[in-house]
Amino acid sequence: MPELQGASVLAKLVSGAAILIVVSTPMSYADARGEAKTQVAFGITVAQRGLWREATYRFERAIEIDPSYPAAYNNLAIAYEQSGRVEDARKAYEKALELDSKNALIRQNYDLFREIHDRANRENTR
Amino acid sequence: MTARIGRILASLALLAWPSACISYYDVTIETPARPKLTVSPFQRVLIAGFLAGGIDDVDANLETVRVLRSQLRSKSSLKIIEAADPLPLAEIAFENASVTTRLDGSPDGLQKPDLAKQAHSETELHAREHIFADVEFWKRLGEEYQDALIVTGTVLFTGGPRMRTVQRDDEVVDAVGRRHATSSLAFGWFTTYLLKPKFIFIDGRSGTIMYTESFREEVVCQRDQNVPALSAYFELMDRVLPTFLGTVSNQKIRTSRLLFK
Repeated sequence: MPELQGASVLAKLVSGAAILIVVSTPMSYADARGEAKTQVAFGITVAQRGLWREATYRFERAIEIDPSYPAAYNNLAIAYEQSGRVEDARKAYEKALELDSKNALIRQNYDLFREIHDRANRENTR
Repeated sequence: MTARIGRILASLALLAWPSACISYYDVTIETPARPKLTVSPFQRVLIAGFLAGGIDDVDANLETVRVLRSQLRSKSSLKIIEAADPLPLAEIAFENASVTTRLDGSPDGLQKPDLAKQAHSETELHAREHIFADVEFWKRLGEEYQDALIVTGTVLFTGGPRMRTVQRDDEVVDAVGRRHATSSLAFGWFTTYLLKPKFIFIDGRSGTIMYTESFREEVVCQRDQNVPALSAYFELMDRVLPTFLGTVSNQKIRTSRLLFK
C-alpha cells in the first residue's frame, strides 16, 4: 500500500511539473515579447525625434530579450542604415526576413535598401 | 448552427487580428552611400569635355563641363582641375577619324565631312564615339594632368514642339465642398526637351574606360509657357546630378523607411 501511495505522489509530482512547464513556457515567451515590444516602442519614439543612437540601443536590447522578434531586427536595420553601418543593416534585414518572410513592410524596406546599396553592381563596364 | 458560425467568425477574426493591428511609422533617414567608383588612387579630377549634340540654343559641352565642375567642387572632397576650356571633342574626333578612315574605312558608314558638322541626333553622336576608345589620346591627357581621373562622355540635348498626349492631374470641388483628384488626358502641341547624357570615367594613368553611366530625362512644357532651352537643360541636369555625384563621392541619400512594433 505505501508503495502505491508513493507511486501516486510521484505521478502527481510529475504531472504537476509537466503542467508547470506547459503553463510557464508560453508565459515567459509572452513576457519576453512584451518586454521587447516596450523597448521597440520606446526606440520608435526616439527614432522619430532623430535620436538614432538611443533607438539603436533600444532595438538591440529588444533583440537580446526576444531574439525571435522580426520587428526589432527590421527597426535595428533601419537604425544601422541611418548610421552608415551598411553590412550590419543588411544582416539585420536578412534576419528579419528569415523570421517573417511574408512581412511586406520588411520586404519593402529591404528592397529600398538594396536599391541604394547594391547600385555599385549595376552597369560597370571595364 | 448559429454557435458554429459564431465560432468560425471568431476564429477568422483572430486570424485577421495580427495583420490588421500592425501599425507602422514612416521615418526619413539619411543613409550614406559609398561611391560606385574607387577614386582614392586619383589625386585630381579633370572634367575634360563632352561630345555634344542636339539644338544649337545651348552649348551642351560648355554647360555640362561648368555644372559638373561646380557640383564636384561644392559637394565632394575631390580636387577639380580648373582647365581653361572644355576640350573640343567633336573636332578631335574628326581629326582622329581621318586616320581611322584612311586605315579602316569610314566609321559607322559616315564619311569624314559629316563628322565635322554639329551632331543633331544620337546616331550622329554615336559615329564620333570612337574617340573614347583612343587609349593613347586619353593616356597623354592623363599624363598632362598628373594621372587624373578623366570625366568625359556625350550629351544630347534636344527640344522643340511636339504633338503628344499628356496626363493632367486636377483637383475638383463637388457640390458639398469635398475635394476630388481627377486625371484627364490632353492632346496637343507641347514643347518637349530631352536630355541624354552619357558620362564616361577614364583612368588617366592607363587611358582606359573605368565606368560609364547613361541617363534619359525629359520635360514637357505648355507651349505658351515659353520655357527657355537653357532653363530646361538645368532642370533636367538637376535630376541627373545626384546619381553622377554618387559615382565619385560619398553622398547622403534621403529616403524613407517603415518602423513597426
